This record gives sequence, C-alpha cells and structure tokens, in this order.
Amino acid sequence: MSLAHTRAKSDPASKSPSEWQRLRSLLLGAEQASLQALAAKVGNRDNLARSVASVLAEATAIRARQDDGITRALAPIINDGLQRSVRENPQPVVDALYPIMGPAIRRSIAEALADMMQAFNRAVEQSLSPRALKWRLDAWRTGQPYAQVVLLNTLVYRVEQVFLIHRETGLLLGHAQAEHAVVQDPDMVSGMLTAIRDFVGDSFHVSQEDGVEAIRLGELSVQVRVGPKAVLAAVVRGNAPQSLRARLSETLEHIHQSYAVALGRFDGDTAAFSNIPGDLEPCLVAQAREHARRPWRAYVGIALLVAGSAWWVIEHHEAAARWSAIVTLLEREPGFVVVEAGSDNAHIVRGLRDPLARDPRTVIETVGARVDDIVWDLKPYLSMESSLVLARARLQLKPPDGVTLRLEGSTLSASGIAPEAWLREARRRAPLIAGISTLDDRAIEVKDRASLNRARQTLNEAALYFEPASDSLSDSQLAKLNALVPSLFVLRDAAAAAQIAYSVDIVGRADAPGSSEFNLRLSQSRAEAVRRYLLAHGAPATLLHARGIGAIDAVGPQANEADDAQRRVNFEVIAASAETGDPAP
Amino acid sequence: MIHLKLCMVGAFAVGKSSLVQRYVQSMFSEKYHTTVGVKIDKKDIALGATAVRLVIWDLAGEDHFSALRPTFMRGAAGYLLVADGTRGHTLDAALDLNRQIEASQGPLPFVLVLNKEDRLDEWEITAPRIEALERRGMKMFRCSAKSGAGVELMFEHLAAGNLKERAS
Repeated sequence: MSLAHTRAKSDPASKSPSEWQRLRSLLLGAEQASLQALAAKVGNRDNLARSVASVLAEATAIRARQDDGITRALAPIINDGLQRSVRENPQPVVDALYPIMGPAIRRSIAEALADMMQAFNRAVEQSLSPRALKWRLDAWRTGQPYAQVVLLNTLVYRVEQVFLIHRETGLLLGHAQAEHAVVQDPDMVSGMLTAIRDFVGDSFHVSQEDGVEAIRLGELSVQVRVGPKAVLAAVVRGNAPQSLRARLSETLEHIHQSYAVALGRFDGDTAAFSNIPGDLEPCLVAQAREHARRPWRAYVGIALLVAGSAWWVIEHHEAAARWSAIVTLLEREPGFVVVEAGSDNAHIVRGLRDPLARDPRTVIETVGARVDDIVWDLKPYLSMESSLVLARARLQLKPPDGVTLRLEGSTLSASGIAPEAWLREARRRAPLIAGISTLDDRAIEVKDRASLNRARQTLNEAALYFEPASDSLSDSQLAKLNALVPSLFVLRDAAAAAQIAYSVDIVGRADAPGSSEFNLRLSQSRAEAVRRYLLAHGAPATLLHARGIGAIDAVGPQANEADDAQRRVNFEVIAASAETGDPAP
Repeated sequence: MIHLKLCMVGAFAVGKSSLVQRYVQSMFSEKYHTTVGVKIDKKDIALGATAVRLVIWDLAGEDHFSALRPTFMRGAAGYLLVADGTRGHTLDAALDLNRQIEASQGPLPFVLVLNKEDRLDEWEITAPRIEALERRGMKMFRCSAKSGAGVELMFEHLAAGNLKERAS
C-alpha cells in the first residue's frame, strides 16, 4: 500500500541519481559488495588465475574420474611439448629417461642373451662333432655344466662375477654374476679377497693403492680396482682386455659418486646398497672367440652337394636320353602306337600293341636300360603295317615249307610248291585276314600235280625197243622198263591226291617189213608183253591199256625213222582234271 | 641387513678354529691359516628383528701380535679374545694380544673367551683370576668347542653389543 502510494506520488524522473544510489545501497548493500568482489575476481586476470589455480588439481582429478576428456585434451599438447623439448634441448629428457632405459635395455638384452644361450646350447648339445664330444667329456670330468664348458671354449673372455667390497672392513656391498657362472659364497670370497690383498700388501710392503691389481690362476683372473672407499673385483675367465679395466674403473668411479654419502658412513648396514648389483651388471661382459679356422665341414658339405648335384644331373640326363631312346624305338617298332610316355614319377608307356608285335621288353633291350620299372599299359589293336599283316597272314595261313608269302599293297602273293589242300584253304581264308584283299597264287605250283607231270613226262618220253619180229624184251630193255615202274606209282599217288583221273596207253609198233596184219599183231603182242610185265610188278591193271598200231605209215612224220627205232613200245599218259579244272597238257 | 666383521684372536692351539667351526657356515679349508694367515667364515643370525650377517675372520693363532697381521683387524666391529682354560699362559698371551690390538686399532668391543669348559678339572686359570679380570670390566665367556656350550652366546653378545651401540 505504502509502495503504491510512493510510486503514485513520486515521479521517477524527479529523483536524482544519488538518491537511487542510496536506495540501492539501502536495499542491496550486502549483495552489491559481494558482487563487486566477484567481479574483481573474474575481471582481473591475476585474480582469476589465482582462484582457478587453487582448484585446478581437484577439478582435474574430479574430471579424470568422470571421463577421459582431460587426457584427450592434454595428449596432443604433451606430445608437442615433448617434441619441442627434445628439439630444443634433449638433455633433460635423456636424463629423465636414463634410469628407465638402462635397466629396460639391460633386461631386454639379458633375456635375448638367455634365449640365445638356450638355442646355442641346444644346437651344441645336438651336434656330435669331435670337439663337442671332447667338451662333453670335459664337462663330465670336471662336473661343470656342459654350457659352461662350451662357453669357456668359445669365449675370449667373460666376466663371471663382480664384487663391490667395502675397502676398510672387507665386507661385501654388492655382487653380480653372469648366467651359468659357478659362484661360491660372495661374502666369504669378498672377505678372503680382502685378506689376500692385505696379506700381499703386508708381505711385500706396498700401499693399498698399489696393492694387488690382478690375481691370475690359469685362465681365471681377478681384476681389482681400488677406490677411496670401495674395491671392485671382477672374476674374469680368459684374457681380459684393457677396455675391461677401463670399464671397471669407470664403474667404480660412478659408484663412488652415486653412493658417496652411504660409503662415507658405512657401518655394516648394506640397505643403502641394494641397487649395487644393477650398477655392477654392465661389467658382466663377454667376448666370443672368432673362429678363423677354415670351415672345412662346410667345404666338404658343399663339395658333396656339388658332386651329388652333378651326379644327379648326369644321371638324370642319361636317364632322360635313355627314356627318349626307348620311346623312339617303340614308336618305330611295327605294331606299336605310343599314345603317352611319361617318366615323371614312374616310367609308364600307354598305347596300342598288335598281338603279333614283338615283346616291348625285347624291343628296348638294345638300349641297355633297366626296364623292370616300366609300367606297360598297352591295349591290343590290329596293325595294318605290312610286316604285321604278313605276320598275321603267316599265322593264319600256316604256309608249308617251300611256300613264300609277300605282300604288295593289300595283295598277298604266294610262291613255291604247295599241297593242293593248303592252296584251297589259303584261297578261302586269305581275303578274310585284316589287311589282305586278294591272294595271288599264280606262282604256286601244286605239289602233287608236279610229280604227276614229272612221272607223265618220264613215261611219255620212254621207248622200249624189240628185235625184228620179236615181242620179247631183251635184258637191257627189261632193265629200262623196270626203271619206269616207280613213275607209275608216283603217277598213281599224285593223281589220287590231286584227284585227277588218268590212264596209261601202252602203244606197240612194228617196222615196215612184213604184212600189215602181222605187224599189227606183232605190235599188239609187244604192247601186251610190256603190260604183263608192269602188272607183274604191281601196276594197277585198270589204268593200263595195251594196243598195237602196226607199222608206221610210209608217209607221215615218222616215215624216215630207221627200222630198229620203229620196233618199239611207247607210253601215252592220258590225264583229265577232276576238280581243279586245270587241263592236262 | 647388517654386516659385521668379527675377528677371532688368541694364542696358538687354543681352539679358535674349533669354536668357529661349531658356529659357522664355511667354505675355506684350515690350510688358509698357514698360508694366508686367516680363514673367513660366515654366519647369518637374527637379533630381535634385525638380520645380521657375521663375517668371521679367524686369525691364525700367534703368541705375539707382531706375528699377527694388524691389517686383518682393520674395520672389525669387534673381536673374540680366546684362551685355553687348561693352559694358563694362553690367557697371558691373550691379554698381551689385547693390549697390542688396542694400541694399534684403538678401543674395539671384544669378549674374552675361555675355551675347554668341558675339562674344568684341568683348568689352570683360577676363579680368583677370572673374577679379577671381570672386575676390570672384561666380558668373559666360558665355553666348550667340544660340546658347543656357550659358543652361540659369545658371538651374539658381541653382535648385540654392536647393534646397541649403533642404536644409541
């Protein structure tokens, strides 16, 4: 009510600014002050930075718990910063990383070496070279692990142990040992080493600094470096190089720097030296022996390989040549068709073979190859090659001795003397043989007919002579007649075989003197006499016909013959072909 | 771990090595005494919560400290002065050695050990003499290397004394 009244009565324009100001401060005084303080905080850069800085860590932690926004925002910045830092001055980064990198690299190398050692050991263990056997014997004899013996024989030197010894007390501050090294109690060894150094120093009156630098026994030596507070002793197998001594000195110096305070007030408590083994490990170095020996095993191996390869190439080449020769022989051989000849895995010949062709093993015998390992896959076929056709003809026709078969084109020519029966069979079968169309048997003389012809000729040409007016045969004429008897038998047999009908006419003659009637009788009587004689000697009577023809006419072809020659008996063989149709001459 | 170097000193054949042998873990043979003049052994013990490694330098027995190598005493946390109860002169020798050690090394914690307790009836060292020495503040142990009696105690006493001193 009073506010409404005030508003109604008062004109805003009539009030002065200071009055408004007073009113504001009356109404909002406290709030105004805090607003101004806030504005001063936000508006002023320094103030704002200070207030944000006071909560920055907490805010980061809260946000990091919520999501990875901060990480994502910072990652590129950190990357850029790191790159820039390395570019401009890498030393701080190197210094920061050094304590991490050293152990990491050492560890990585140690692991790699351990793996390598294992592989190496395996390889050597598996090898059976005389040297490996000797080492094995040494290992067995000395009771050392085999790997140790191998190391001893293959290394120029190896630092097996490193001791860091408190100089005054001889107490052990730290110790590191190589893998596979044979180690005795380091505390006692450390004490004894000190005692020995003292002993030598006392005995030969030398100062500690000039004291024992190295103890050597066979291939083992103890390299000693003396510092103001501590002594470094390295047990080395083999010949330690100068560089190792330098490394030991550097390590000892480094330890003196890093542990100056702890060394200075050492009272037996070794807790401060728990990291010493890590500092000593870089001293555990080794150098493998380089073998300058000639790798004769490799040479022998390579020589064997080369010889083997050469032998293989020659053998392979010869085998290939042999195989090629075999295939060529087979391709040329009548009655063979080589479809496929392979020698990849096994020797195999696929193709066709005429059953009458030669045995393939015989064919390739000339190559002189071992042919047992050839696999034959040959299917039968009929070859049209002339030699095979001829062979087939011979097989099927079975020509008798004396018959020659030849092939000209598809005509089979036969020549020689053959039985009638064979000829008939040959004529029937020849055209049925594969590769033969006709049989030419014009050059074939039928065996039985030939003898028949000879017998007929003998008989036809024979003549038996008589004394005048006599029908008796003289002894000489009888002998002649007797010689004709076999021809008659031949005639009989051959005619029977050739199935030829025949007959023999015995023709008697007389000379001109005398009556023709008498002469006719005389000639008949002469023919009869011959017939009787032949019958008496077994000639078949049915085929012998005797007839007399009397004296020969004064005119005619035989008119001039002498009388002695006219008194005679002749034979006329009359033959008629039965089946052959071959007319008798 | 606390490492302590302790020395065994005493006249010839008083049984130092036998006492050490009773007590320690050993790797070196007795011949080191005649060659190097010292044999070093080791013993790990626990004194309360503290692990202690005793490295015991067993010095070759000599009647005169001049023959003993003073350098072997260097850095020792204490020593055991050993005498043979059955031979009175070994106590004289031990006390003589003690004087020489103190002269060359300064005062060091030590205990006087009278060995061969197992043969008490043969002892030449009399009770009044022992009491007189104890009155002079010497810590004395009677022990027997043969039976092992008192051996652990004398080593541990010396070690414990060192720890106590270190704590104060």
